[in-house]
Amino acid sequence: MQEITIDWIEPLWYGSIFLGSGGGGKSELLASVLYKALQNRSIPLLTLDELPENNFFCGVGLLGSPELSEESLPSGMEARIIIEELEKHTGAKFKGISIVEGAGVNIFYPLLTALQTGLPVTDGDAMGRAFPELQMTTYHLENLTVTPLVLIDSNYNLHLFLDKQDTFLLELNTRQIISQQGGVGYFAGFPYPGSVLKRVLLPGTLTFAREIGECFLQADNYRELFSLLLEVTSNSFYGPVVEIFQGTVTNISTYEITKWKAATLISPKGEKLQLLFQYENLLAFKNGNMVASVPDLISAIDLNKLKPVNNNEIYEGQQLALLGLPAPLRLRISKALDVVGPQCFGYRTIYVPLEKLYWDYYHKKEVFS
Amino acid sequence: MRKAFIDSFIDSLKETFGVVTNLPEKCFSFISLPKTGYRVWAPPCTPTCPEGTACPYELILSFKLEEDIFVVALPKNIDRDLKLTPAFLVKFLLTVLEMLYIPEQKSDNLLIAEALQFLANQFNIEFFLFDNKGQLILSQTHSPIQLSTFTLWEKVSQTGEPEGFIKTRWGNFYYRIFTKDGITTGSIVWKTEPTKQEENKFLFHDDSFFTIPGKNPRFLEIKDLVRQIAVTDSTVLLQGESGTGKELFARYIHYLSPRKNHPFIAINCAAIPDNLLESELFGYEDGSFTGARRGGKPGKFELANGGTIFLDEIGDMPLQLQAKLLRVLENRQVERIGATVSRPIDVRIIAATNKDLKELIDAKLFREDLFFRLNVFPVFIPPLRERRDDIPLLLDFYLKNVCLEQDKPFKVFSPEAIQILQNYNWPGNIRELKNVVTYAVSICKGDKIILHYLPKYLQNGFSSSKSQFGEVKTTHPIIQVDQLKDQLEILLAKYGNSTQSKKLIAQELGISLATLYRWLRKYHLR
Repeated sequence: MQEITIDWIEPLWYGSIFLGSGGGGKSELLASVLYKALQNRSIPLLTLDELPENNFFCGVGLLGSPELSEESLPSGMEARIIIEELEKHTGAKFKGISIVEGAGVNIFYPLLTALQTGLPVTDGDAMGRAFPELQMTTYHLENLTVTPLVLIDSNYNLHLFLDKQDTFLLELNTRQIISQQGGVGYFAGFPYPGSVLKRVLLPGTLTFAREIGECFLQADNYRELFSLLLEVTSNSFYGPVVEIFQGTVTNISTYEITKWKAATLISPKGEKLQLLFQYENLLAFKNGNMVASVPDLISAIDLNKLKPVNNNEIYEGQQLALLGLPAPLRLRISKALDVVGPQCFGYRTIYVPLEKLYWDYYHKKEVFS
Repeated sequence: MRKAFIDSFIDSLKETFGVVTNLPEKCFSFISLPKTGYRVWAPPCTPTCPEGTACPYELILSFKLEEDIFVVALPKNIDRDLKLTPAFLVKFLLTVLEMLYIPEQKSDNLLIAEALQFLANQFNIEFFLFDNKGQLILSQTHSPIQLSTFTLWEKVSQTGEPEGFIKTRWGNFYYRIFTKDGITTGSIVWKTEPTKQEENKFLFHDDSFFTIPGKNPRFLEIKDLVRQIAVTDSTVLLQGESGTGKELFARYIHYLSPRKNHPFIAINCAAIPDNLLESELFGYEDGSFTGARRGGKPGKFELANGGTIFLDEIGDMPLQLQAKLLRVLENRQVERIGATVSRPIDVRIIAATNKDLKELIDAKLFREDLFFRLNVFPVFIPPLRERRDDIPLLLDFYLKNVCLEQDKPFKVFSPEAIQILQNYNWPGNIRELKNVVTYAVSICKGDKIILHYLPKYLQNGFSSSKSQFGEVKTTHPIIQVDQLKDQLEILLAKYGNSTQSKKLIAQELGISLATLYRWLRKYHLR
């Protein structure tokens, strides 16, 4: 069994931004809280193989606006309340915390919860990246419900979703409560035993995030960073990272009435890239042709700072490299594309895997044959 | 009967290839007919022939069948739509040789190897010769391979036709599948036209990458070791069971070395007849033997100059060649057959074997001094069953690649299937795993590969003895020995005990027939 110690926090932070694919919320403050808390402590981290078959775990996370959560940071106390409440309604005594969204703030919030409760966390999550909605998980692939779920809003009101209900509907209901009650909330749900989590969760997300983050700590220049990332991603359940674009942000447009946003980047050669995002980066078009599509990850790196950046850190004039990372296979099968494909975000395009968009790149070298 | 056979053979040659069967009398004073087997000339047959380059024939082939000698010639300007491309000649020669050897019952591999040897000498053809399991026996290319050779073989195997034409991203290929008694014995794939230079440009682009998937701690240590060795110029000896990826490691070492932009030449010492291996490795001078190419031919050592030569199955190299190899290792010079002078070479040598060389040394089948020369950096590649924790990652890796290659929507293995595959013994190692993935992808219609889509021997052997997912204890992997024995028993019960059945069993396990026999002996299952 591994342990998450203070050494994990900085690389995990960079990794969480990278896997956030532009979204997932800013995790800096939460990471710093953990950094302090882990001075003399550690959190047990269980690989999926190590999960006890019959012990129940619950998934925790933040819903709503991570930015608002920064104004009043969660203490982890609210997690105790919702977990205890969930225990009351399920009759289960939770022996660990599972991660739902292994990116952004939702990598760190379960760690904070684990510290408060003294429980171990799973090295695996149900998204493999950041996604904005509750149904966009691998639980959906196994037809497993999110409920019973307990939600606590920023006024410490508890909201219970105990009956089995459609996950899309649950997403709408929770979102409505959050928007009425301060814009941010925390949930405990997905109550499942280790035996179920073993087949549902994507393995090794936390260690992978850490490995990604280590690349940012080690690299002295972009070229080195890219080759480190290439090595780490090639030997993972994701796939080799590919460079989509390098250029300067020239325009960021937002449409007030919708969540649709777009950024335009121009390369030194005059090539134009349009990045379409909502919370996360979802599609990229280079000179009018699609060059990446959700659920594959599109992550931005600030070329001057050589660090991954979140979409709300992007500004005009910033020099960025956009990298594409193939999503884990389980997010790319047709049943998964029903909930995480481009059409689920309102776009009319279909998903095309990075390996097809960059066929020559991915096949130029003979790999294990 | 024989006469009828020969007549129909000649007729079919005439019809298919438009060959000439009667050469002018004057030709016979310039060519000496074979006493056994066959002989081939690419005119002008001798420097003294008055016709010289004006000879109307592209290729003259003479062969002896029992007591009769036959001569056929391919005219340069065939009055048909056929073009005399090297590829066409491959086809022609193979047809002739195949027909020729049918009455003599010669072994197929020898037949193919001889034909190829000739072709490799005479023409600049890029070709790949595979055995029935898709393992590369011999290849000749002028450029780095841009797609996996296994993929090439797979494409050919999937066509369902004994010969034809396939398109790949790396260019177009003709292929021919060899069968004997209805069982595939091998295949040859050759390029219809040479690789264009510009196609290769991006190959040496800095951002090219190379993946050997695996996170098992011991495997990672080996990868680290290999990375350190790679930058040196030392000889490496790779040891591991068949199918563990020894050639991949050899390529990996080459790729990480300063020699990466120079040739990587691989040769399987066990797959080439002893008499050909010498000329293949060391080359020969003009006029060294019958059928030799004019001007001589460089051996693989010379071709690998500046780069890396990979000697696979080194344990199968004949003793007399071992002595010659030892001299190369000591002096860094090669001597072509029939040559009087040595040529200096700058080659890094990577050897591999799945045999215990120490045992071979005791049995006087391998030179001890050569062993010490080769064993500078020994690398042991663990079998798959010793890194079971990597199986899910490897399944994922191949599943993704196979789906992309076959242009199918992505699929995943069900947890139950992964459980069975993770507990399985994998005697054929990575190669067998890849075969299982390819099989499953080919027959699975949905997006989830359940037990039903695994090869039957996996389903029969293990699904019944396992409880459903969720109740399975995550204890240590099942002891492999018993499992292997059980599995062999299941396969024998399924296929039977005949030689043909054993070939099928070996194929299914992704191992050689020899290995299968060894295991059967070991478990007293014969």
